[in-house]
Amino acid sequence: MPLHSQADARFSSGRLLAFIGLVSFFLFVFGPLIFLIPPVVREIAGSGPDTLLLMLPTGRRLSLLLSSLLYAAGVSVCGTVIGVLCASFFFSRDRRWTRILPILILAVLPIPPTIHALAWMAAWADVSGWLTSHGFFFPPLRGWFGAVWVQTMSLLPFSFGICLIALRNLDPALIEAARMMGDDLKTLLKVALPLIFPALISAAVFLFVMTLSDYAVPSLFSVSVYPLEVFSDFSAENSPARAFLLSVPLLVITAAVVLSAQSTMRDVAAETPKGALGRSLRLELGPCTNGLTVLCLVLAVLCFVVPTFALWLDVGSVSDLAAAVGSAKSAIYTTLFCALFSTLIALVPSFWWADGMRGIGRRGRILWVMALVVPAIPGSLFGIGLVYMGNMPVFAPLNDTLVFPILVSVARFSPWAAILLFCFGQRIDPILFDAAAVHETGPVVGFLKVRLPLMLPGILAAGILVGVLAAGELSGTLLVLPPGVDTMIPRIFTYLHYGATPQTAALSLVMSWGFLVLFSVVLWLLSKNKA
Amino acid sequence: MSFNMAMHTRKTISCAAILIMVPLLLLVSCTTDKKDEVIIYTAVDREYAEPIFNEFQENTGIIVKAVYDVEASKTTGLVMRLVAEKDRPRADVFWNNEFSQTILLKENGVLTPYSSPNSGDIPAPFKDPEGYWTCFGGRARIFIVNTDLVKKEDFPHSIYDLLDPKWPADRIGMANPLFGTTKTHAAALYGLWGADEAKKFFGDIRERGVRIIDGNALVRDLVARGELMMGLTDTDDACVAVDRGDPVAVVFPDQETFGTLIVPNSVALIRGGPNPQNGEKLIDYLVMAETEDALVGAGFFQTTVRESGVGPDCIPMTDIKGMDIPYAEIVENLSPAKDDLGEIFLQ
Repeated sequence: MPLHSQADARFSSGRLLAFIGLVSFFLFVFGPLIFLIPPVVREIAGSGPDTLLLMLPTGRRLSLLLSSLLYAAGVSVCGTVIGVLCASFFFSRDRRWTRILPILILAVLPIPPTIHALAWMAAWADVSGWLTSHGFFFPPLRGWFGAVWVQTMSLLPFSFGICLIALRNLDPALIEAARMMGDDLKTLLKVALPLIFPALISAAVFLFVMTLSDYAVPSLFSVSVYPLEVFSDFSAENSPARAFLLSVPLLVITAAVVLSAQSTMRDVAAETPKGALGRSLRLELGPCTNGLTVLCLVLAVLCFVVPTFALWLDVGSVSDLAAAVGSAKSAIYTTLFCALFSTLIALVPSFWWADGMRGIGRRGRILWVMALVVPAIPGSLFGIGLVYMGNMPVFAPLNDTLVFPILVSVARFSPWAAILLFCFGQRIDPILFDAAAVHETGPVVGFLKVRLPLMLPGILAAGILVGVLAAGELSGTLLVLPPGVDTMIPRIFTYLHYGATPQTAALSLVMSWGFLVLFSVVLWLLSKNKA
Repeated sequence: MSFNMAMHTRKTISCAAILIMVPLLLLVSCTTDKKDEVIIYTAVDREYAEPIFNEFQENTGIIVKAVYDVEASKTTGLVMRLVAEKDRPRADVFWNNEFSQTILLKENGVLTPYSSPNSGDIPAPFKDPEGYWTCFGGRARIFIVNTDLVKKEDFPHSIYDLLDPKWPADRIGMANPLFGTTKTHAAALYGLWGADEAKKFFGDIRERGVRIIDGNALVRDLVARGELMMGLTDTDDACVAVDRGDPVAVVFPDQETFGTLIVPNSVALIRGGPNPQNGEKLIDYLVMAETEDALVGAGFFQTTVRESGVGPDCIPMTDIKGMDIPYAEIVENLSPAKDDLGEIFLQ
């Protein structure tokens, strides 16, 4: 057979594989929402055109939306600044403990923000009481300050993790060259940080989007945000169509933020050098910068210590912990099962979507926006969409299985996996892929022998992210969980009714420690792989 | 297409199909066999509902499969699910920890009438005239007061105390009236007083700066910790603090005037559910006097709808005056109350 025919065959099969991946991603992520369209259209048609005005926030709703924007922007800026300064601390010190401590900070990722809030409220009240009794002033953890503080602390591990990974993946040649030309502080400020600008923007956008759609933490601190309006309307009217229309401004804002951010990220990413430092350095940053990074380190450590310590106090003893875990054994298994399968199913299509996002021109931009708009869609809408899907006779057999709870997580969190894989893929030299493409015998072999090993760390990181988020999913899972089956998060929230009980604390600790173990194993595997 | 190209294409499709289908098939294979079962959606806390289901299972041999709601969704999660599942219902029974959402489900065509023979001794106001729902047990709206901070002679006695300047506004609180039983309480006040007076009352609460807190459980905890002197909450939440030995006391408001709101549980049969006969049996079991008494004994109910009901250990609830307003009228006032309260509290 002529050589060009073989090349054509490989090219065609590769494109087909990519096409299947893209279509799968689209169906997994947007499929549930497609099932939502007919009933929503019917409901809107039945209630008259005035209902459409819900999409336009005016008066009180407009001021609520502005409050939400300021709140999300505040958390985004605070979280990213603290995250990058804390990451800089670890980047500029290369000791044994600086390799272990980041893992502990990241271990609180699976603890729900509500648990963070309760822990912070209790700890703050204790410290405040002690200080005021000794004649000192301590600001109360209330209102907007309380909401921004707690939300920032609960999301800080995300921004910290993203920034640290980006710093440790810098091109060593560039860093060493910069150190020869100037002092270490300049190397950090003028070379390292500008190089990780895409990661900073990613962290800021992530925090902004996660905060914009949240109402749990603000309502704990008695401040009003736009998502609370959406929820209160649904609570009184029971109308998914109204909830969807009221959510449109949030979707539009998210799309706008993502559109403006993505051009910056893509432009800067295009200039990003390839290669990876893979470790921290010993940099002399001077007393001021050192002080600032140490302060941020203390905050990051507190975001681990406060919830963990508060939860441990609530648990009481090891036997109480064992009893609580024993009574929730089936929920733990189900959570692990759902998280594992959500991860496995999400990763494959996300890989191809990330590949598509790297494409030049309008197609790449569209895929970007589609991936980043999804986190702003209320999780319950995915759940309702899947309920409508389950109403169809052809999908009815899936109703009593864990397929729908898994699909909720796949739909909600695949875009995050795609974004992470995109960012990681930007760091790999495309020449490696091109070289492999010349010699590979087929796209599947090429995928298994070249792309998979090159992308393995990124795939593992994306897998951890999807697994963690899937284990903590509540709003959509609640709508599709089969009768007689439960997962950990609904249990934790049920126990919350009675305050921070030993059961709530024990289950939260189990989630946190489970993640710690998983994360450590993945890091160990990666280090073995490198060796 | 050449042979080689076709082979590559087939390989690609096969691999992609395997990658997607294998996990799905594995999951589908996890389906349990259909047995003699009943499916219930409940907003009642698992701690209280599960023992009742286990007992029913032992007595009848019918397996109970439950889906529980959580506090975070303010009891709307399962209602949303039942409405969405209307065309292909998966549940047989809905056991709600209040009544308003159940009545809304009736209006949405989700329920079917069923009058249990065991509900004969339940007074008429607690049953739907058309048989769509039955109320039993329940809780009441009360003040929880920190006894370290407030003397007995200073205890509040009316919800108007929330407007009394003798109570510092930042030391008293209530849950957000847009959600949960506080929302139902607000709608009841709209029905009782009329929209103008009720709107003025809640506007004054907001104006004073009374603390609006995320949920009744948190109101209880803030009072128990001494951050608040007193707060408006439910008896079931207050009982937790009483049982814990916190320095708190419970006061039933407005006993000399219009009474307090009693919020009973409600149970209903789902239209077109997969196991209607077993659903009826479960409803029979839930509404019988013994079950109501058992739930009082367990500390979930603090009141019963029957004359002969037993009293709870944590709070003496004999001769409590409840509001005299039909439940359907309270539900009618939910939407107008939501519009006003949204304007007042969400800004």
